[in-house]
Amino acid sequence: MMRYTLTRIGSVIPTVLGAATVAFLLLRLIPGDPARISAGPTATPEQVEHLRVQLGLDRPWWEQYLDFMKNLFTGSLGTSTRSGNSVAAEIGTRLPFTIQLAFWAMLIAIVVGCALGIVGALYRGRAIDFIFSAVSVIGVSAPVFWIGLMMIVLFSVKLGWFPASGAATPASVVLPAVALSLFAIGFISRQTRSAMIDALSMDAVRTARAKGMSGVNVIGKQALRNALVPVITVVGLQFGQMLGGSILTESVFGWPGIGQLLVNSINNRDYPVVQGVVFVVAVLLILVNLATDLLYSAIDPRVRHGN
Amino acid sequence: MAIEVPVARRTSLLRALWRHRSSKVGLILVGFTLFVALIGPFLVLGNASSDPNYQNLGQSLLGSSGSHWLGTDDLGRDELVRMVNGARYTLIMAVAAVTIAAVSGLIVGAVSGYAGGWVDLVIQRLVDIILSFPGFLLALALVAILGTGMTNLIIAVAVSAFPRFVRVTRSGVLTVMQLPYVEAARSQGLPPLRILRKHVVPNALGALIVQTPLEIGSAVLTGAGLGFLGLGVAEPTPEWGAMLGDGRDLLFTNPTLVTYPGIAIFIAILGFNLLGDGIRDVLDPRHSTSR
Repeated sequence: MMRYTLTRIGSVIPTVLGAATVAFLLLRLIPGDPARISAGPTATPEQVEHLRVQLGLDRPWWEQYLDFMKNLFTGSLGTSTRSGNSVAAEIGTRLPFTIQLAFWAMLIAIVVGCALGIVGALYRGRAIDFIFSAVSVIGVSAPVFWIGLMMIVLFSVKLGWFPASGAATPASVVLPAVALSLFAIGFISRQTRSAMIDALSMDAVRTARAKGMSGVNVIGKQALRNALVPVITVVGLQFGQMLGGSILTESVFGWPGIGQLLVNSINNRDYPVVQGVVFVVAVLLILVNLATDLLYSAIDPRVRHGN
Repeated sequence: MAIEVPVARRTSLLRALWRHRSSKVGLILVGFTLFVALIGPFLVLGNASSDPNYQNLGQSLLGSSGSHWLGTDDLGRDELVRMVNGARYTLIMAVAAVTIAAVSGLIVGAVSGYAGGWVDLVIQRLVDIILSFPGFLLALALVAILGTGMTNLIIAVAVSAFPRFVRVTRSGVLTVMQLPYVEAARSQGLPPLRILRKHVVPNALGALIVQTPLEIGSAVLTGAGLGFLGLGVAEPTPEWGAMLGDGRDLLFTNPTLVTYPGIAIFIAILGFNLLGDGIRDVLDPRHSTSR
């Protein structure tokens, strides 16, 4: 266990360094002169030169790269070319909002997704299973930016139940969290359903039923426990999807998270912020995948011996 | 998971898909979208407003009527004409991006799985790095850097789908490599490229075939999402995501300008997802979602 844990933690390091390298390369992949483009069409040559020095583009690339990596180790992600604030501080004020949104969306997705999947598996082939399967495929197919806008029309404009935009009141999180959760609900419910069907046909479950254990006991103690193991991986995978989806969700609902910061920075050609957000999101995802793998291996010993 | 698709079964695959409940709906929806993309622009010809970019400010924001079935947008452009023309952009983008990703993913994945050793290790570490970014974020960052436009959009979507094709091909190749006939071919001293091309890749294709429609659906979603944020193809191209993004400013007064393009995107994605599910069920019943 210890050995697997350490190896798995160690494997994170090259990936994080790789993600940092990709973030570094972003600015250098810009076709043409990054300083010129970043400064905007109305900038004077002096402003462009100033920006070139600020972005470090006047120095050799390897020096820029070493500096970039060195700064990352000290927690510095550079300075916004638009606001002059440190990128780390800008991300720091926005990140809690994105995490809050993703947390609620994931919670809704796990509860609703597992419920739909379990009920679907128990009533396999019946009308309710068909309806829940339809709900799940609609969930993974409906674009979040469309569903989100439709929800605003219905729940904010027509019914007036929830605010349409911003994060001013606790109720503000409801619509974006529900919209963001739909894709994961669809995904989790399908995986739960098929894992549950597998678990229900396991010898242990059949034996328990044959021994006369009540339905609730069998489902709760035997089948569910076995079914939820693969679901953990799915939840981990869905987190990445959710971070991507939150960019669109935040844009629809005016939610002040890093997704909105990213889109604004792209529109302002504020490249240090773009690089910072890309890197921070990657690190977040790498850590969640690590946690998922470790949790999975703690529950299912076959994983650590298989690899 | 190696799923074999012998040549003789290819014609019966379509029949099997048609018999399968969800892939039948998928085939209908995808067929409808394809039909609209190919034929649709010719069907809505006939009056001046059949040009998707024909503006008539005197006729802006009309509701549904006999001359404008789905009404007009804020510049007086016919909504139905724009939607029908938009099908092409969405489909060309998604299919081109997924084709590039699938072909390059197939090559890289096959090499990685067949070569093994340090080649495999290096390729897998690189794939890990690409996968450490959420797909949509990666596509968004690439478009932000390369600039908007159809070509860059295709590149961005292809790059974000590429690592998944590498993974799928590699695991298919690894499974097939253990089969006796591949070992036999190797022991006969056939050159590796020939073994790969003649024996390994054709039999590892099954998983790739399952993956492709699902990836097209996901590419439609990514492309429309970028269009929605104003980072897709340039104005005034009637791309569905961009139309939805434009309509957003008029959400409270004219919600139909958001509703219709949204339904179009939804139908296309739903079709490809159902088709993908069906193909997976038909080729590999163990993973059945509907039975």
